[in-house]
Amino acid sequence: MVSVPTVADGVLIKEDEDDLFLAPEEGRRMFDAAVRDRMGISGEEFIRRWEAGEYWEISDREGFRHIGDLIMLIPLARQDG
Amino acid sequence: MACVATQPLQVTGYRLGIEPHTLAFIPPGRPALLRTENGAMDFALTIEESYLVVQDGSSAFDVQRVGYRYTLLHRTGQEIIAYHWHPAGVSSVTHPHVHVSGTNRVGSPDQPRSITLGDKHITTGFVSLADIVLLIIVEFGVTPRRPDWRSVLEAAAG
Repeated sequence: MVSVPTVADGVLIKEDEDDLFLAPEEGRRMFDAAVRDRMGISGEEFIRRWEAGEYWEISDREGFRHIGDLIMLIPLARQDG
Repeated sequence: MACVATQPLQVTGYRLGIEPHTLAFIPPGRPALLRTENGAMDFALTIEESYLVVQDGSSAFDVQRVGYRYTLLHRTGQEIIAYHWHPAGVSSVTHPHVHVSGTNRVGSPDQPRSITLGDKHITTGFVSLADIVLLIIVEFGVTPRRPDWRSVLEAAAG
């Protein structure tokens, strides 16, 4: 049975010792930080460029696979709570 | 993952829906450092899994994996080996595959040839996170963090 944790905006909530649930704002902040660290642009700009197709050709190529990794983290920026 | 790493995992959701959720280390984008048998932190691991929360028609819920990226790196950030499955992405490669970094030099001295493997999509079967943990312990000498790691991985593999 799936238990539903309590999440407060902007606060990192622990369900129990093993489960960790991020509030949506915390997830967006972490995504932005990860993108800035690897790409030097904001998370929002990264998503804009991805949706525009700028990364489609290179994200699975050697030397650029960190882009593919960041693409898979996009749901972190799109949580709605 | 507790068999080899202390870095916690995060998930982005637990609700039914058509948009996949993501499982990854926290903080995202930071590889989990792995200790090897000589005590050094020689390797690191990144994982991303896409999943859907599904319902089988009754009241039971389940998690369905719909994509993954498991990457073993040297601690300097250089990619060593990367297992991918991204059937829903923009890549034309939708089957599970592995990228092996590096270049093989083949041929004869007077006709040498270099084959770069890193961009090759080498077909694999589906691999699980348990498979990756087993790989890095057995083949790369990563030190397991718990003595019952074999039984834990066997149970995870179902």
